[in-house]
Amino acid sequence: MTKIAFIGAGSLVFTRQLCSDILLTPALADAEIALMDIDPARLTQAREMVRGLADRLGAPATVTATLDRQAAVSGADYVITTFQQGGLAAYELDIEIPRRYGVEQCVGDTLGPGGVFRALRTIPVLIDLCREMDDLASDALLLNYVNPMAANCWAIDAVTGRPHVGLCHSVQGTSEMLAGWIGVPYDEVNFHCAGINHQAFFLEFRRGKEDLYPLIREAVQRPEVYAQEPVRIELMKHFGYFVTESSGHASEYLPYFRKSAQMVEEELVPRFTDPVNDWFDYGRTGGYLRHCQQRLADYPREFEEIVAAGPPAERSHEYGSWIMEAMETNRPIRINGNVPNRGLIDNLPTGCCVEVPCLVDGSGVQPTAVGALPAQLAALNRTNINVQSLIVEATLSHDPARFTDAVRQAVMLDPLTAAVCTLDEIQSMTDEMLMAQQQWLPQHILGPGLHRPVADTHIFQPMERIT
Amino acid sequence: MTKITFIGAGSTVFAKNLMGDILSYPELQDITLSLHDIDEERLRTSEIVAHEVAKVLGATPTIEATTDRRAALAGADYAISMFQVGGYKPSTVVDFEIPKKYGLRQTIADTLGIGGIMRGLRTIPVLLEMTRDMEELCPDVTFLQYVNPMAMNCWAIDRASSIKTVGLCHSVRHTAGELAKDLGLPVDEIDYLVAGINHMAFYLKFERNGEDLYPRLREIMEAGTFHHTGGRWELSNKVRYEMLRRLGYFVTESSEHFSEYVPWFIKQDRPDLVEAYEIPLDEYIRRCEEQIAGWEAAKAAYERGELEITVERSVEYGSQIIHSMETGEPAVIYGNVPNRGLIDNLPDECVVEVPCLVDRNGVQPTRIGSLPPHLAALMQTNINVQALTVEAALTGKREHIYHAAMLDPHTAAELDLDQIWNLVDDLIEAHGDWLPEYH
Repeated sequence: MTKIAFIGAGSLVFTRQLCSDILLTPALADAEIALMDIDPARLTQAREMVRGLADRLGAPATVTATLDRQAAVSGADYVITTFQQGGLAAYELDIEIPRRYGVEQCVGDTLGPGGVFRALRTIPVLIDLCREMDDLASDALLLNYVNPMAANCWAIDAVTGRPHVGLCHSVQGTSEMLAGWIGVPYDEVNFHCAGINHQAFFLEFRRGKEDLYPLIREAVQRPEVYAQEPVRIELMKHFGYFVTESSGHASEYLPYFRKSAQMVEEELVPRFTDPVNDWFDYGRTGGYLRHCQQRLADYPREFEEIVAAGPPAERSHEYGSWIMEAMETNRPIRINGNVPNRGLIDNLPTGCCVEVPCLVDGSGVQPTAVGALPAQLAALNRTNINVQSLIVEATLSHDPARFTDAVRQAVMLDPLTAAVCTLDEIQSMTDEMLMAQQQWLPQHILGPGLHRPVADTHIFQPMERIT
Repeated sequence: MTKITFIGAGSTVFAKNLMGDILSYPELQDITLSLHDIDEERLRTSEIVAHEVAKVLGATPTIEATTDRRAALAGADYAISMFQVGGYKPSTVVDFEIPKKYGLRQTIADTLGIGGIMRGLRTIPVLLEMTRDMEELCPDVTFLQYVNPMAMNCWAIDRASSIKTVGLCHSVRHTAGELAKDLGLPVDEIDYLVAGINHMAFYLKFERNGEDLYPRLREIMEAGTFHHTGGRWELSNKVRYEMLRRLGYFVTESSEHFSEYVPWFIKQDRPDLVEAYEIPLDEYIRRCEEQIAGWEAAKAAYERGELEITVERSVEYGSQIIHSMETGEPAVIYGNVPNRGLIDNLPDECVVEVPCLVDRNGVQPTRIGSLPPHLAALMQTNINVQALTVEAALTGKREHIYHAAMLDPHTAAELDLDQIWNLVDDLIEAHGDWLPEYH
């Protein structure tokens, strides 16, 4: 029987989505779903929720819950990560410290100082998890949903070499949106998309042999369309291709849009007039953080609603269940997965994490070779890959001084930070963040002057198993 | 309307199988099927067969037949090559008989060896004429290339043309079926991963429900309880099981083929080896004679309307590729494609056989990484010959033909340098106008 472990199962909305997908999949409906989280209350809710979904769908799945990560991983065929290390407390520091230095991040989970620190908190947990998988589930595939995707996956590959695939729904979501704009039924659309996570580009968007880009260029002239995605539309105008991650995100991976609080408020925010952009507060700094804080406040009510709503009737576009189904049944599918760049994209660095079309069947996730990207797209990707490479450098470092330098250099190479801060400012900001977040960072590696003894905060202490 | 062009459509049996496969898909029943051959008589037979196949399947394709290649290719979405340059007589006979005078014996002679080199040299110029026509008349065509020698032909096309090409062979699927039979298992339940070069790819993984089947194959090897292969030709499979013993992996092309890709089995002073491994020398000659006799009888029956046509799906990938590209329903096929980042320990740009994803984005090869070093080394000996044959074909330089023959593992083991050069000279002369000028 297939065993699927969820690490961070207390992410209830996402757990519900993926578990519904699994329970709606005939080849997976009898799986053992092993839920794991460090928060006992959340974990209990997750178990009850998934058990309820299985019962209502009549699926014969076994649902277990444990606080012990090793127990969840042991014997698993698939391990799915959905945790957020440090939670909203750490996330708030990711946004608020840089903001005082003039770095205006909207989402702050991918690149920028926020993305760098999210990676520094997350990677040690992922590496520990991979080590446990080596011992307890040596053939299992890791499906990583945790951001920052590219830095996390690159570190997994560089440190552990474990088979993994990084998954995101930005390709599916963006392609659905584009098809909607031009009024073409989604199942008639075909696309070829490649690059890095959150900054991959639709190299082709077609119906049969018909290139649909002319229709997209026409659609973005409409004010109601522009109001949804002003940043991505500007990028398409200037770089020629449509990018996969939302305008709130896209605006902070580049130096052009958020050079000051005034520019954000006066020039950027007014362009977002469509309510689809409410979740990142129309591009305002810290928009997504406030959204998350609000969700947490509303959580009890939201949980009641989720449970009351019952299971969905159809599988979602998240790749997780489709991948496991293809591997279990040997029926091939195509996904866009995040994988190490070994011979896949010629003009991006070897070993970095790229998002490319992958074949999935009984032989697992098999990336396809894309060749060279258009030069301007590869160049944009490389500005982001620079930051990721220094995060990985820090991760690989055993020398505290080198660790601290690599972290500072990662932030120095961030295109947005570099556009608004001096080198001294960047160093002060980075050091301040290292101090503020040390409880979530590997203690032995903090550089001179940054190490302050604190209580053991290893986040995944084995706790009593609840049944 | 999707247009599919068959080049060398007079290969009636092969063409019939592919037509049957294609027209079996409901989504492909209204295609335009354009049949082309230079032999009017064979073309007519295939045209009759095409109408019969459509009738049996209840399909309504538009069927055209023409001896004008440019007309056949104009506006094609897919072109499928299945021709043979020079045919059984004179070319194949020359490829076998002249080397025989030097004591160099062959079995199939269509892939490597002196016969494979000569076949490559007469085929590549014709393929390149076709791809030049395609560049002009159907530049977006997907070219499904079935003609041997596969690796040499596809390599030359990749170097000389911009046409999207994938080389196709049924050996991967065929051998999986043969191994399944040896194991007494349904082939559908076996999950395999294969990579290498055409006719010398290896099953890197051969499993059922997560169980590695190699230990069971090794038991069969030890007990000698494997079946004959080659369908009605009933040939021994000893060579490949011997290679399993020596290499640890099973290879994709038959024992009779494999025996001539390596220096270990066919030696003029060792008739005992040929006997012990039951190697069918001149096997291809025998097959051609049989096929020609069979074809004459079948043709007469087709034309009298007496032969009942039955259509069963074949193991060929061609129709699946077209279906997946037209519908977007993904398929996995084994394709021969240029090695750009696919297999690390084989040369850049040589043609490798790897799993490919096919959907509306076309044929997308997947990356393998490194092969076990001994398998890569063995392939490298064959790639040497391919590289030099392609070099000769593209540059017109005669010296590279000598080099190719000198690097051929079987030829080099049997003959000295003077013999190899003389053999090449004799063959060039005997093939006459079937080869372009070399200088």
